[in-house]
Amino acid sequence: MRFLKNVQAAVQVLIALPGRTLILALPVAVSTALALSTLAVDRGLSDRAEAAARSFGLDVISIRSGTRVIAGQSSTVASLTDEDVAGLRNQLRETRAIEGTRIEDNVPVSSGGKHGVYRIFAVRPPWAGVRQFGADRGEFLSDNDVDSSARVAIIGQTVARELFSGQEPIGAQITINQVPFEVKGVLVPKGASPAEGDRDARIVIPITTFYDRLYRRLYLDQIVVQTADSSPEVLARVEASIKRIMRERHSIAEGQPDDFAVRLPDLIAEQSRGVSRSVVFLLLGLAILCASVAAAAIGLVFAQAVRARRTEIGVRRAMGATSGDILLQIWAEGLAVSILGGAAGFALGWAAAGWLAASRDLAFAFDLVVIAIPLALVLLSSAAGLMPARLAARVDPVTALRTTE
Amino acid sequence: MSGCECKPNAKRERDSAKPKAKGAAIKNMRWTMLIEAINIRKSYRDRRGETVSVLKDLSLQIARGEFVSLSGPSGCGKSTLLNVLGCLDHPDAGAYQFDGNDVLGWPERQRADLRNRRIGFIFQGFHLLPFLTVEGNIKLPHLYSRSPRSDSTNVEELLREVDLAGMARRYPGELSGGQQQRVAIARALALKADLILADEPTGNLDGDSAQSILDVFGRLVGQGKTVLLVTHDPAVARRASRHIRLEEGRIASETTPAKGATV
Ligand SMILES: Nc1ncnc2c1ncn2[C@@H]1O[C@H](COP(=O)(O)OP(=O)(O)OP(=O)(O)O)[C@@H](O)[C@H]1O
Ligand SMILES: [Mg+2]
Repeated sequence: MRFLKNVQAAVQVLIALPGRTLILALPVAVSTALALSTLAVDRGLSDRAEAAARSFGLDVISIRSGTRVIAGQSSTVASLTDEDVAGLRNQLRETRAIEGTRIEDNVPVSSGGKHGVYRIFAVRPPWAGVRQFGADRGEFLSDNDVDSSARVAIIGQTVARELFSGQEPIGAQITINQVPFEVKGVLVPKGASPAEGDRDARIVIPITTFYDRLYRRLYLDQIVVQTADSSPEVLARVEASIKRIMRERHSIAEGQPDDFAVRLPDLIAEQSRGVSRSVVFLLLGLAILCASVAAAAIGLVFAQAVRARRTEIGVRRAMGATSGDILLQIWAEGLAVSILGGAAGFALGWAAAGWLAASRDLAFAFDLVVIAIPLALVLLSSAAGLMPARLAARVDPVTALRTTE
Repeated sequence: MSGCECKPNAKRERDSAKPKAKGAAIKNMRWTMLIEAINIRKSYRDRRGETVSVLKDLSLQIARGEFVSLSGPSGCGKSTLLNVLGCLDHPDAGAYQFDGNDVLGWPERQRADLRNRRIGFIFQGFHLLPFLTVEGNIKLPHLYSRSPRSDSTNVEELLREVDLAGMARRYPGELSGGQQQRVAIARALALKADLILADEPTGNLDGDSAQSILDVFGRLVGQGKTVLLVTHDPAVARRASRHIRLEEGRIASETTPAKGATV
C-alpha cells in the first residue's frame, strides 16, 4: 500500500517529464534489445547447428578428398578409392558401417519440360542408414539396383517440388545429364544448412549406375564412417585410426600433409552455424557497454535531479513523507524508467531476432539464458537508481525548505 | 478567543483547582493546550564549524483555537521554531508536547504521520509542485497518509473554502501568487490538520492578495483551527489574537491586541 503510493508519486513525476523518461529509457531498451536478439539468434543458430550435426549423424565421420598445393595452386586430389573402403572395413574397429560415395554437383536434370541442376549422390543401400537419408515415400535403392546398374533415382523434396510441382513423381521419368531414369522414391526432408546448402536439392542413384551410365570415374568423393556410438572418446579413437590407416594406404611420408580431410560432427555443426561465436561475444559486449551507459545515465541524471528537486523533497517531507518514502519514490522513478526501457527492449529484441531469422537466413530461439542476461542488464540500471534515491533520502527537509527561490 | 488567562503557568493553575472540579479542569487543560514547548534549545553549526545558538531556552504554549502571530528580525529563529513545533526539526534540548503527547521521543515514522494528519505547513514561496494540477497538489498529503479514510477528502469543497472553486484542473503556473497560496492552504487542510504553521505566507503577495489570505486564516480560526503565523507586517500581526515578538532566540514580548503588552 505504502509502496504503491510512492510508486504513484513516481509515476506522477515521470508523466510530467516524458522527454527525460524516454531519453533515459532509450539506452536501457537498446541494450536489452541488443542482448536479447543476439542471444536469441545465437541460441537459434546453436540449435540449428546441433540439428545439422544430428541430421548428418552424430556418429558419422566423413572422409573427403584432400587438397594438394602444387606450384602455389591448390587443387582437389582424387585420392579416395574402393580399395580404401575395403581397407578401412578390414582394419577399423568400433564402427558399424563404412560407405563410399560419388558426388557430382550441378548436374542438369529435366522432366516433362522442366529443368533444374542438382547434386547427385551415387551410393549403396546402407548409405541411407548411415546418413539417415532414406525414402520418405516410395522406395530407396535395393542391392538389386546396384548389381544391375539400374537407372533408378530417389529425388529430394526440392527436386520433387521443382520438377513435378504437386504431381506424383514416383514412377515418372526424369533425365539426368540426358540419361533417362525412373523415379523410385522421394527422400526425407532435411532442410537447408549453411555448410551443405539445400539438402533437399539432391538425387540419389546407385553407385554402379553413376560409373556405368553417367561419369566414368573410379575414385570416390566421400567415405562416411558410422562409429559404434557417438561418444567423443570413440569418435576421437576412430578419427585417429582413420588417419593412420589412410596415411599408410596412401604411403604418405612422415611430415607430409594428409591428402584427405576428416570431418567430425562438431566440425559440421560449427560450419552450420553461419554466425561465429566471436561476433556473438562482440555484440554481447556492446550490449553490456550500452547497459553500463544506461545505468550511468540514470544514476547521474537522477542525482542531478535530486539536487534540483530539494524543495520538492522538503515539501513532501513536511506533508508527512519519511526519508524511506523519499527513497522509495526516487528509486521507483528509476525503476520505472528501467522497466519501461526493459519492456520496450524485450519487444524490440524479439522483433529484431524474428526479422533477422526471416530475412538473413538465421534462426532464433529462447531459453533461460536468452531471457536471463537481458533481464540482468535491466536489473543493472534498476540498481543504478538506488544511488540517487539514497541521496534524496538524505536531503534534510529543513535546509531544503529554507532556500527560497 | 484568547488563551491568555491560562497561559503563564497552566500547571500551577491545574494544581490549585478546586477538588470538586479537579478532574474536569485537568481534562479541560489537556484538551485545550495544543502546544507546550518548554526550554527549547536549538543551535546550528555554520560553515566555519562554529556553533550558532538559534533558540535559547524558549518556552511557548498555544491553546487550541488560538491565532498567534510571530515576528522578529531576520535570523532570530522564527522558521526554526516553526520547524521544531511542526516536528520537522529536532531541538537539541527541551521538552515538547503536542496535544499531550511527548512527540520528541517518537520515532521518525510516527512524527511523519503526525505532520501528515495534524499539521499543515504553509510557506512564503508556496512550494506547490509545478508538474501537478491544483487537485494533485491538494491531494499530495494523501500519498503519505496511513489512514484509509483519507481518500474521502472532497477537493471541490476545499477549493470553495479558499475561494478557488472550479480551479482543480489548473496548474500552479497558471495561477496568481495569491491563488497559489490559497491552493497551498487547501493542501494544508486536505487531511483536516488542526495546527497551521504559516511562515510568512503573505511575504510574496501584494496587499489585496495578502488580505484574501488573511481572510481565509480568519475563517479557519473561526472553525476551531489553531494558527501560528510568522509575519513582518504589523497590520497582519494585528489580526491575530496574540502576538509574539522573537529576538535572538527568545520571546522578547507578547501582546494581545485588545489588552496590550503582557510581558
Ligand atoms: N540548517 C542550518 N544550518 C546552519 N544555520 C542555520 C540553519 N538553519 C538556520 N540557521 C541559522 O539560524 C538562524 C535562524 O534561522 P531562521 O531561518 O530560523 O531565521 P528566521 O527568523 O526565520 O529569519 P527570516 O526572517 O530571515 O526568515 C539564522 O542565523 C540561520 O542562518
Ligand atoms: Mg524564516
